[in-house]
Amino acid sequence: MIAALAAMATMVSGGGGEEGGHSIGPIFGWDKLWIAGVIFVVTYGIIMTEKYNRAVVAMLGGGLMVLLGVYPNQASAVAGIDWNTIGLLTGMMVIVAVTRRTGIFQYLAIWSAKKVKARPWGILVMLSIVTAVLSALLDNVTTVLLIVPVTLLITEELEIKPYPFLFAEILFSNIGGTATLIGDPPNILIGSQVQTITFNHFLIHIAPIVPVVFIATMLPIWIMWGKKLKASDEAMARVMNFKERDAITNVTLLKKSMFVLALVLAGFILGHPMGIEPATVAMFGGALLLLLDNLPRTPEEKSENVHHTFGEVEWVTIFFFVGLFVIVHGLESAGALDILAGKVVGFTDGADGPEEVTTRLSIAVMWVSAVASAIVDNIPFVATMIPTLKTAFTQLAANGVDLDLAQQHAVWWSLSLGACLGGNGSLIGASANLIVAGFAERAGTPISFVKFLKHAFPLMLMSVAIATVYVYLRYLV
Amino acid sequence: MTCAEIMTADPTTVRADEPLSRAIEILRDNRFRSVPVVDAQGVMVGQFGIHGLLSLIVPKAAFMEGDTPNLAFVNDDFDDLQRRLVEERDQPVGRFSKKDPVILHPDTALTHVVLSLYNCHNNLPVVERKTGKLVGIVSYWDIVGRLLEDPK
Repeated sequence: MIAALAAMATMVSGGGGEEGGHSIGPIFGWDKLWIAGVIFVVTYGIIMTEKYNRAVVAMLGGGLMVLLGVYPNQASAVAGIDWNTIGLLTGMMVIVAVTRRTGIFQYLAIWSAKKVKARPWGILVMLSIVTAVLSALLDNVTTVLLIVPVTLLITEELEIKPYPFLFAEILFSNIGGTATLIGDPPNILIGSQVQTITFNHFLIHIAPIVPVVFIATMLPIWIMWGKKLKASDEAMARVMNFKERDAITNVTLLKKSMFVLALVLAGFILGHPMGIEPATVAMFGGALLLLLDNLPRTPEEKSENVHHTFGEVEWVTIFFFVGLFVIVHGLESAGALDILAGKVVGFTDGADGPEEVTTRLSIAVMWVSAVASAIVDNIPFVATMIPTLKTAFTQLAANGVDLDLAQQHAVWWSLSLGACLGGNGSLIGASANLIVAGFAERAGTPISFVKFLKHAFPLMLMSVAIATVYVYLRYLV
Repeated sequence: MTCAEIMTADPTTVRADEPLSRAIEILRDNRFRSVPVVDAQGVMVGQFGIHGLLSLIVPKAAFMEGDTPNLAFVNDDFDDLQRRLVEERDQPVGRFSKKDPVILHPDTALTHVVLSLYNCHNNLPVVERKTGKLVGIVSYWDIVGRLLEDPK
């Protein structure tokens, strides 16, 4: 991200004028490249400050791209929106909105806490596992929205500080989310926009390293808090007294939800060879679950319930993506990403053949993504990197360095691992982190930015180092 | 007729820096639904009522989610509930008061007064527009009682 901004800045300050050929149609006859570059830098800058709602900023930036003539017309701006990402996110959000009403997520958390006799350290490990697994199957933000409230309930009953638990849940939501195409927004973007990558590719290429990172991250957490976490017998008895069965509010709906979730997962795995994209699967699943959920209701109840469910979709995230796509595609169509890609290609100068280019690119992409994702939200970073890297591959091929599919994939895996794991570097590294911080604040135990940074940044570096070794051994030698 | 004519003037209040136990006493002894919380100058700064009192007795985490949470699985016994209430008893009531309660003004029209009572399930404080000072309170019976009087 920083590299991207720096490259944009040089482009805006000096390099822009050379691209005079692009300036057809924009406002006052200004250079399209300049307009797009300034909109990009300013909107990303404002998003980074976290002072304004990011969806609003992205929508304004996207609107300016159209209004100021970076696009020839509205249709070309709409063409930049990745509807597969939008559909996948929205569909999954609908499914979760219905499923959470069944109480299954509370049930899971309580069941796992009781399995370890309500001992605090055991609960931390179990909730970490639940968080990681759910994050792999659902969006990270959704996962923490489901798990953090019940975690706070458990720590309150245990009369212990929630910080170690919340810290672990932030880390493992990002780590678990790395495992699948649907687990984390960077993966959704990569899976959507790189045509040759499917749901199963993520299972085969990324998922195997996730348990290793999980264990490696759990060790330092144990060293930091393992022995310090203690609760009184009385307090543990309170948690053991929880009746997880009573958390389930609607068994019929639970069965329907599990049926649709299973169908959707099967759709992700089996659909691709048949040409069925994830958004179709998720949207269809969402609609099917809405239908099943509403079958027994009266017409008035039906419309109110559907209305309510749609209301629970996280529209801020959806609109943020829409705005972001229009901004990034505007930048791309103005030719700015060619320049950025040129910088990426320039980085491989002097490399000997496609193998060495792949190695250099993979490792650089991994570490730049990791550090950038720790500093800013990883979604805008990855949204920019994908078209940039695609252009870089084309430019490399034109220079006679043709990366084959496996080599290109190695770079994509590096982007995924770097961006997803990098989100753990700071409290603002990923959306889920901020959601947890928000919960902690409302519970009266705010998470300090610096304290989290001190604990999490070294662990993030360690996880990226593990990922680097993995990518190197598996794809680069 | 406006709000000023049917309200009860100079209502019982609690100062924000008084302990929570004082506010609870007022609610219990008078069977009030809520009591206005004011500062030293008599400016209204919040409201503390039965609703806020009940929220102190269940785990705080229950209020983390938007919808009414299901806590059917929690089996806290009587002592646990009591412990939560006792823990907070000496804290200043200002910490627990609802900061943005629905308020009325002396010149608020009667229909709006009735609608607000209907929506809030509570007695409503009447606050002077310019100074923010509490001047009265309106209960259901303040208005319904008057309406039940023989028509002229």
